[in-house]
Amino acid sequence: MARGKATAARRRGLGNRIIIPRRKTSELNKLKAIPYKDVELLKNYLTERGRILPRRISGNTARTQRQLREAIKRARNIALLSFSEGYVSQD
Amino acid sequence: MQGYESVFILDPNATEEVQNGLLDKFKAIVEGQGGKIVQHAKWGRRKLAYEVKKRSHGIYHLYYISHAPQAIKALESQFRLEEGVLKWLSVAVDDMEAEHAAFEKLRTHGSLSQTLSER
Repeated sequence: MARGKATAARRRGLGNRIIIPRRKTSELNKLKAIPYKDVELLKNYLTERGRILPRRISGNTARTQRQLREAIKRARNIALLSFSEGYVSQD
Repeated sequence: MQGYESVFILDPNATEEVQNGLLDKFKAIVEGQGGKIVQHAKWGRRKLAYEVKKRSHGIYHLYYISHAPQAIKALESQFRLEEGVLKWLSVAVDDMEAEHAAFEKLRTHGSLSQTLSER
């Protein structure tokens, strides 16, 4: 299988490089529950603009990402996290 | 023990007496409905992530309330009426003691993100 891929890559002019996808993991996956009050922890999973990082970047499992989403939403609700960052009002 | 965790933010511009008055009132309401405030944790003054009712700071409080649906319902309707409450959030928790312990740990030892990256 890997060989097939390598030849296909070579045909596309990618040289002899064989790309082995590295499985990303997130530290959050180890937690039993994600605390919504831990602002510093949640901030690691937000962009500068305050958006939630996609799990292809963070390496969270589907389950963890769901829990993270709820935790972030709770934190936003009680003003521990903002809904968006960097917006400057025009008035 | 199963129960509720209720976070609420008091107006920092309110005087100490007014704030204590509110806390007494909340306690009476919860107990009047057959609930019990198992733990009351004071998180203290924090900067809000966004302005609420023109306030940039708030006094955070946490209640751990025994499993009594009427009590939490009554408390939330009171929160809605009080001018001195900026925001609140109530969630059901499976283990109040564990949640409280986790919160105290967060407050004394800081964020979990440090302990996680050490491992």
